[in-house]
Amino acid sequence: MPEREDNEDEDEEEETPREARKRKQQKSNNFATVAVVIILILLSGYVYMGVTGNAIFGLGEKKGTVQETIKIGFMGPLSGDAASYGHGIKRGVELALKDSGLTNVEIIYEDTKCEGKEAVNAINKLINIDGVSVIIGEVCSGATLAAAPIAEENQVVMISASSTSPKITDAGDYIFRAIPSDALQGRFAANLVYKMNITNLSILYGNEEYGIGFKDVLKESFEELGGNVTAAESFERGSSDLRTQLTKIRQAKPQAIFIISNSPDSAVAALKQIKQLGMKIKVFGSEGLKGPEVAATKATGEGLIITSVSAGTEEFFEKYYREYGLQPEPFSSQAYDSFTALAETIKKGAKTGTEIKNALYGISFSGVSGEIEFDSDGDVSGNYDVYQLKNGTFVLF
Amino acid sequence: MIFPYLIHILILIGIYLILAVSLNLSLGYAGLLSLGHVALFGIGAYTSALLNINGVPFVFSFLLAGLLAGFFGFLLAFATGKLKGDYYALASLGFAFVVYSLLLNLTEITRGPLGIPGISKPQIFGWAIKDNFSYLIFLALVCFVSIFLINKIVNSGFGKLLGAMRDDETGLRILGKDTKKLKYKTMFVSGFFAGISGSLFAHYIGFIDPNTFYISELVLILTIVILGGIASLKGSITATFVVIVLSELMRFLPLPSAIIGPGRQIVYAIVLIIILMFRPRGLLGRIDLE
Amino acid sequence: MSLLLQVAINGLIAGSIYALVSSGFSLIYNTNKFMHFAHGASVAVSGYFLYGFFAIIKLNFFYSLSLTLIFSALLGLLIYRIIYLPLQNRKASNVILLIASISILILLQNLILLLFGANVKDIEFVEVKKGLEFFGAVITLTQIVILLTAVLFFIFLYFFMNKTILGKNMRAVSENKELASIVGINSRKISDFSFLIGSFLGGAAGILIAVEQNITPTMGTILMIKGFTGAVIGGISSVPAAVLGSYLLGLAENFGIVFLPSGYKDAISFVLLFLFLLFRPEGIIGGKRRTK
Repeated sequence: MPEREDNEDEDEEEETPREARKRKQQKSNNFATVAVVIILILLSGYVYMGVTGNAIFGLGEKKGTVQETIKIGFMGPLSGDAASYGHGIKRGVELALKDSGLTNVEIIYEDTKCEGKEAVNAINKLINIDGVSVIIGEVCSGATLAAAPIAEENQVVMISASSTSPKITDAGDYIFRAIPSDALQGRFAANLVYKMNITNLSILYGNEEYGIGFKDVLKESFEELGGNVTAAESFERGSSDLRTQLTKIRQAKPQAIFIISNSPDSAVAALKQIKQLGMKIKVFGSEGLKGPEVAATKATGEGLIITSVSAGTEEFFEKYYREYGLQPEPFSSQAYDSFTALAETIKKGAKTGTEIKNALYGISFSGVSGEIEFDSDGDVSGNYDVYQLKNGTFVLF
Repeated sequence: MIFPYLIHILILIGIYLILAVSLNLSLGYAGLLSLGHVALFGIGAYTSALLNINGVPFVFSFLLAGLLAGFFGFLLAFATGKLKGDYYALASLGFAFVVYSLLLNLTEITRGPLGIPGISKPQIFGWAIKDNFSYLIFLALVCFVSIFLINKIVNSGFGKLLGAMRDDETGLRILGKDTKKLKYKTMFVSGFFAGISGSLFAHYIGFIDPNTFYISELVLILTIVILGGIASLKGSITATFVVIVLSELMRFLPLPSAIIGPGRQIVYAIVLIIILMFRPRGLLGRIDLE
Repeated sequence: MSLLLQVAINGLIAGSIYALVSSGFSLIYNTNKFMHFAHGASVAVSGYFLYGFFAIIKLNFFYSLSLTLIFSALLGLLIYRIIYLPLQNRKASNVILLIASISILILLQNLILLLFGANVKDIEFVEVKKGLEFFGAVITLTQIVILLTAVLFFIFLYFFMNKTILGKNMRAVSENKELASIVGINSRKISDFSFLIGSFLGGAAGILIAVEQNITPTMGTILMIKGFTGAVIGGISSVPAAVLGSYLLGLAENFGIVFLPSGYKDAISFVLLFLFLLFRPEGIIGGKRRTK
């Protein structure tokens, strides 16, 4: 009898503590994984139902195929430090949509925060998932240049209301803009400064496509005229401590400083720190500074002179005010014209990206920001105004 | 009808998978908490991108990306040889910052904050990968090969030595094994895979800038590796799926993207904290974190 | 000459801010023996608290100031109690605590981003005008306040650590925790105080930057890195060393960009951090090297 009992004991040998732990660990691991996977599947299912109820996904093979609604993408900073530009452009576009009378157009908005990376993600989504044939955007030159190769490759038109970098001229057949290149504004600015008897200029510019492009043209033009650029310092986008750069500039003893920035925060900081450092020089700015934040600096920015593209016709001012209760914002008129140009092509029957592109090259009309006619590079020519900040408002100089 | 989007998510998962697995090799098997892996990812991406826009064929830029990143991984291991634990983590974090600021400031080479746009899709011996579906197939191939190789390494004698080093480095040294060489080799291999995942990333998105390889990426990668668990390939794979799907799902919430961006980071941070506090082993890990 | 003087002034001001951040971090590190990276959040959150009280609720500036300091100190304590203490009770390693602290920093920073948005915010308390000029260099009133406040705080800190009982107890715990508890010092209470005081200092830094420049959601991370670098340069095992290292860092950065393009400012910090961690982790002052 005892022997049989021994055998039974050997068969049911107790697990060693180590094996028990391992088995429990295995079980616990499996349980955790299964739980997470189930939760994920449920979540995905829920989102799937919610999503297919709202959006229409194309199979992504043919972009811009014939559809009932024409989809237009919008990429711009709706948050972040350049958001005021983004919203101004959005309003211009929506007003133009209203005025165009088109009913078969859907605009899909993407917030790209003026960043190249965001623009690329957004354009991939807009093209592959939403199936847009044309995109209005981006606002900042760097972001536009980042997204342009993708638009070009997919034969989707991109039209910007505010990107002024000279590089965009060569960005592609499908890339247009309703605002003139800084190759022109830089030259205009150089002339302006030189005519005010300044021969010794310093430049403070944002370290990005817009800033660098403008700075290069400004420096070249100014030196051609016979002037001297004694200092050129760059700052990171959004940076608010510019004292080091300004200290170096001060050292070079210039007669004037030209600030090139599309970040209102940096522009405001620059104006403040120029004052704090006791720099008594004439201050100029590119049109990136023509915004509410800079105007609000009042005494600090008093006397600032700005070159700018046209803000719009009087009629446009009235229309904009009636619709929004606001003065037209920077680039609103260019945005209005961008959309109007698109609307013209759509009314002529263009639907796909290629059709819209071909039609755009033939467009010619008097827009609210100037003559809208695209040259072979997709650029427009332009006029510039000069404004001065007096008592918190920008007045024509 | 959401095929294009599914393909997009799968591609992202594939890229981050290789990266996560490479980090797990160093962290999970060699016990080196390399917070600098995001820099190796970035070095791979930039190498591949710069070579690509200068006309170098994809196969070469791809491999060179891996080799250069591997080399920097080795350098990192070499430089930090004596450091342990959180000092090593911080030094590797410092390395990540240095790489970031070099990418940002050496503008003649990297174009700094302008980034590198227009990176083309791969062309391999005449097979031009034009659309996302083909890219996914190519990526899947690379994934399988990578995981297969790393699995082999982990289960080999070398791998067992690594495990021993993670658990008790001094003991291993007493036994006469050169732990320094082990670390170098591990960080080289780990860096290599991080580099090729960087290359795959650059060629898919088509645009890179220094900010892509900075703190938010670091947090994402860390979350994946810790969620998945140390020393578990299956864990890393599962966690990559979970984290990427979760973060892409957030895009569909009816919230403005100004909220989704930080929202994602908050989710990662909370996931990390919860895991550290309640389940340091992660989902499928076999060992508790240190 | 005036350029060098201006640069030196800029360096001392930056150094003062870094030193405030660094001293708080170092105090917490030495008392608790782990890296509280989330300290950066104390700095950022305090800037936003000030903004909230002063610019949004429109409370009187000095009430806003006091409330902000109190809240910042309490936040630090809260983080300790909710996250670190439970982890420590579970015998978590320093690596886990490090990752936890980084996660907390990211969490709080993104909460700020979520609630307040990404743009830079200004606390318009001081009128913008030209600073005082001497020998060709300019310094504004606010900057003088920063220098004085920092110096005052450090003097207080020194007296606190060396002349008060609580301070001496804290140093005892830093030197040898077991022995301190044997002698009857409640190390939990000491830790509480270290977080309170350390975060208070961080909060002060946040306020000063908010008034002198402005606030951004990411200010916490970059200041934490600089503060940490300062501590490493000076010597991680002593609070005065951290202060010294931070001033040196401020000066190094500002002198560095006289010769390098301005964009390299942060790069100088990162490179110094990396080099010191590799070649001289115990810092300039040296002293006790951690054995772990």
